[in-house]
Amino acid sequence: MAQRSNGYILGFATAVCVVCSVFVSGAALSLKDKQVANAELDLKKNVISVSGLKSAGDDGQIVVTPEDVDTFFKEGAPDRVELGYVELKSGAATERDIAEKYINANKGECEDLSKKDNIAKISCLPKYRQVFTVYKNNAVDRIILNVEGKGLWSTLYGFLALSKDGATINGLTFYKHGETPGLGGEVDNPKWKKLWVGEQAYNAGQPQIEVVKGVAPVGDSSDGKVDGLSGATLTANGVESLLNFWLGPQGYGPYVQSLSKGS
Amino acid sequence: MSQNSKEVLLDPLFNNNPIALQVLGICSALAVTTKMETALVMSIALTAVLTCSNVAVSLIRQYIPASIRIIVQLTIIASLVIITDQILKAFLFDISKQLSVFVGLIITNCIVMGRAEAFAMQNTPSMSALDGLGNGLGYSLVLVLVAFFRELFGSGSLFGVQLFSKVTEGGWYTPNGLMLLSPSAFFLIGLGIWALRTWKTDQIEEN
Repeated sequence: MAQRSNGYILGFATAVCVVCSVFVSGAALSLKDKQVANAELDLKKNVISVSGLKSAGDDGQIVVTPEDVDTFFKEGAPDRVELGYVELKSGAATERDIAEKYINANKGECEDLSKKDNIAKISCLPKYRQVFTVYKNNAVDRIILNVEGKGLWSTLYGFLALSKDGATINGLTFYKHGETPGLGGEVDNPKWKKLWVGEQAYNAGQPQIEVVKGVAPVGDSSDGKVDGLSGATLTANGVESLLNFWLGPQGYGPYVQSLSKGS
Repeated sequence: MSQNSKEVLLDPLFNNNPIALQVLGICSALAVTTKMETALVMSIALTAVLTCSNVAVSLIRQYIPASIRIIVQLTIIASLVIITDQILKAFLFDISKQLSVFVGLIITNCIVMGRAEAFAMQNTPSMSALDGLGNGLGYSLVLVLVAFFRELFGSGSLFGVQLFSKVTEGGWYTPNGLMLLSPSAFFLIGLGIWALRTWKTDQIEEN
């Protein structure tokens, strides 16, 4: 190949970059709406899967269709899921408009946590955080908290459903994580997720979640102790820490306590 | 199809398989083969990227300055990978969630750059397309085979359909946990290479 001038090389490199970036940004822009819709749909599907509004099929799996999302997220339906916000520090439920306005105006703002308190190893703590309220026949049935925390390889994002007084766990699901399939990835296993149902979240006001290595002691099935996942101790420890964090004083603790006082 | 183009397309399946003989692209072969579904989507994604990048590089091969050819190839490949990732996120959201970072890592897959540098830089676009397709299929063949054994013995299922009922769910099959860990892919690929070289003895390297 003949030796080319520096000008040619620079021009060629620029041309390649321009052409490639046009393709990449074209693809990103044209597909963005669809991707955002997908992510949102996936989130809502997960909310419904722990809401108790949809019962499990024969194989124990809860299959949520896009139609279900429309049905249960419809305003004014007797059985529905409503998105709200909680001011974490005070535990006060906050109007959606106010919270969303604040979040949009203060994007990326968050509070740093001291290492000792940050057992879920989250990167930052927002002022307002989502909470979903589940209505059955227009009466509050459950609340769903948005939880996240570090597992072994990745951050786990999930939803924790509590009874309306905040005392009992009604369901747990993770909608995004990067744990090893078959090991830490077993947090998605419906059999394991079922173990959480009925556990008491608090003992004398303190979160008491514990994932026990091996099999949790038989007998008291509501003591907040759940069987570990074999081969995934570190992921299970992460789940334990993140649940205790979000149920605790830094997380939704004040809000959940206000619920139990209210009822 | 002429004899030559047939060879270009079919050689990488057994005679010159990118994983089994050239031992390229091993990293993703370990990472995404715990399930058939992810292995298949990864295979399709890689074959598409490989074919397109081969054609693109071949089209401009006369004009690429030799001094920056590698980075030009990389730019093209990286762009194609990002587009593939975007498409997966838009149309196959659940699977793209499972493949997560590995689609992005096609960029570093040695097969793609290897073929661009070794074949597409010297051959016509149509031949390069066949070469990309052939090598993509060769890669896919190994990936799907490995995933078949890993999912079957590691989880007792294929494409997520339970075939062996697991002990934990009241059945008879104790899943082989090793199959779900990366080293098992090494063993399987190794056994595969052994079988292939027993069949095609000309692939045995001289000591």
